[in-house]
Amino acid sequence: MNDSGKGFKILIIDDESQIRRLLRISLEANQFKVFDVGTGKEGMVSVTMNHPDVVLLDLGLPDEDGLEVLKNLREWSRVPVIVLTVEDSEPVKVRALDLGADDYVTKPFNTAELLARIRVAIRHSYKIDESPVFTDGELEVDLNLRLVKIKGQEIKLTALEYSILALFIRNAGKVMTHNYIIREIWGNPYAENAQILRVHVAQIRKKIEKNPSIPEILITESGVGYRLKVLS
Amino acid sequence: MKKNNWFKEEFKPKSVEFLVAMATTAAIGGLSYPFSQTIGYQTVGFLFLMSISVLSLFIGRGPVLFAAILNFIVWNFFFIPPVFTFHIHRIHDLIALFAYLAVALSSGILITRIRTNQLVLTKSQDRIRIINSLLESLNNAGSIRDVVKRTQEVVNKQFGAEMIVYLKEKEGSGLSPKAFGNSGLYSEEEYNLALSVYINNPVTLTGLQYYPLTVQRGNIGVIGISFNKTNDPDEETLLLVRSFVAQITSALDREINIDIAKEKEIYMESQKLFQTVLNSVSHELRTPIAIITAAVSSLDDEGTAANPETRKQVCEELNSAAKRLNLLVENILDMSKIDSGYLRLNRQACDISDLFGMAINEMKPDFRHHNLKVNIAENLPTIMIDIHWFRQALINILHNSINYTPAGSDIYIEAYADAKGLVIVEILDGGTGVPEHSLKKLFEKFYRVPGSKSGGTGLGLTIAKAIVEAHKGIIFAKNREGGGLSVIIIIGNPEDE
Repeated sequence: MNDSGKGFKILIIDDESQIRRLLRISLEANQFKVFDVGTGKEGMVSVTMNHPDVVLLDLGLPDEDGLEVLKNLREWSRVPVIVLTVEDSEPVKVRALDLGADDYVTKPFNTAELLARIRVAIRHSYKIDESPVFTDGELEVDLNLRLVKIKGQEIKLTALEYSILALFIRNAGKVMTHNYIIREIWGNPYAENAQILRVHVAQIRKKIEKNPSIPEILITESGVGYRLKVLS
Repeated sequence: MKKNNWFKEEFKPKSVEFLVAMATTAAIGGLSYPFSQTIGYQTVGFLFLMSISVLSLFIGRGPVLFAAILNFIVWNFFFIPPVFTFHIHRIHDLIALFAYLAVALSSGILITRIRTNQLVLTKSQDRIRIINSLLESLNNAGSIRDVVKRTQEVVNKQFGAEMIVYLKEKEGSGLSPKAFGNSGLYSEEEYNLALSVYINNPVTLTGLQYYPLTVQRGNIGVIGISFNKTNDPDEETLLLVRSFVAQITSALDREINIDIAKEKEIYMESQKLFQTVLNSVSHELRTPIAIITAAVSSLDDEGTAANPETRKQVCEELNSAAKRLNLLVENILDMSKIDSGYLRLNRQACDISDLFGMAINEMKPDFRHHNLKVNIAENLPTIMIDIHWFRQALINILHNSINYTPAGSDIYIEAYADAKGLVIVEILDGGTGVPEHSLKKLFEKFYRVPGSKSGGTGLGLTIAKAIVEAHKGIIFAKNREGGGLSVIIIIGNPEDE
């Protein structure tokens, strides 16, 4: 795994120099090329100059709000952005995702977790190993044949359940907000659909999870949305 | 005590006035009787008429009319022929007698009425003057206590009375037993009476007179007035008291509303401070924890763990994050010790250069990106200080300097003695300095210069100041010419002070 970075460029925007140093050590050890800056302004400059493949953006910056930086960045760049936030700030996470962040990592974070998120972001951004057949752990989904299997056993899903699962598969590893899923599936963001979504997710879990009350594949991101966890 | 007696001045007691009326008639009758042959009984009639006019200037209407009729009888009986009878033979005497009666009665009535009107006018002018003086006094009042004090003064001067005020409880709707004004008038029974008045229960009052202080939204309190026992208030006084109560009510209501607004403001301020503290402390606590978590988990990552060099770097970061966390916890503990008054100095003789040596040694790793220039004068007097605490103060100031000085720049430490033997320590950083209005606030708890970079809780300099001041020293900050901040400590030996 230590060549997984393969020269992909990561830009760290965080005002804590110690966090930057530490991330640099871990990322460079995994063959990423690292740029780091301490302010939002420098961050914008670095994105134009260095064309990073992923941006790690801390939301607590001294010069301007991290969400502002994200908003400005999204006006002209589609570079994947992973937001670094503190715990218990769900509304901020949702807002960041709405503004176009690709994912978030909660501080204090686990380095392995962060590396996994970076790899997911790069995979989605470069459409790496996009194949019609998704296999992870015991779950196998063939998007062409609309076939879902657990441990090789075919599972029957309703049409709606299948479209929800397919959306998760296409965004494997990424967090999706309730609103995003509702828009993708039903096309409108009505609030009552959040309840309907919850019911359908529960149904899907019953069919694909070992223990639906302790889900291991379709994870709830509390206050934010859902994530299809990628084990490999 | 000067007492205004205008309300007693109205008329003298009636019985005295009737006596005066009788005496006047007797005197005029008695004195003119021997001369009635010489001056003629008609003249006596004029004298009686004149006495009525004069009397009506001094005594009330009843006694005047009484005197007029008495005169009528006396004149008729003793003077008009045939004397010693009520008979009158001549028609012009009869006319004169009744003309006298008509003129005497009407002039008596008219003159006393004019007097009464004038008296009422004077009284109402007096009332206006008194209420105005109260209003003027109340307008300058700056607090509830002040309103009560000023009212007490006026009540005392005008009525010779004492007063007590109870106000509505701040929280809830009951009457607070906290008494304003003359607390000598407070007793449990009196409070219960006041409470009855407050909740609009009918009560019969024999001692203090209680009046509810009523505004639109209900009663805001009760005022009790104790009149002098020998000096029971009459209707006029009670009327005036009622106007007083209305004025006091509006003044108190105003002060209460101001108090509520102020409290709200203070509450908002403290909420804001709490939020600031929470934000800065939680950020400061979380950052090293985030670093430690990330560092530990990265040691578990193959890519990082495989390389001894990166492993060593990660361990260094771990170490420094743990130190940072420790410093923060120390600061919070120090602050709470200082706040709870637990700061006990253990003074011992100390060489300033030793002290700096200790502090700088401890902070060596922190100085690796800066050029530290130390210039300590030789032969500085030894000073009696608590070495542990004073070293902590220096470390906090130096940490601050390091935080705000760009890497590669100079930080100066200078120490010298002045002519009086005081030691002056200056710590000069190479940062950007702070805005002038922030200089004093730098030492306030949790204050951070707006827009300053993260890191730091706003406690370090507060602690340093508390330590220096516990040593009876002075600490202040100023901007250096050409940029940077200079923190200056002036300290002497305890016996020098």
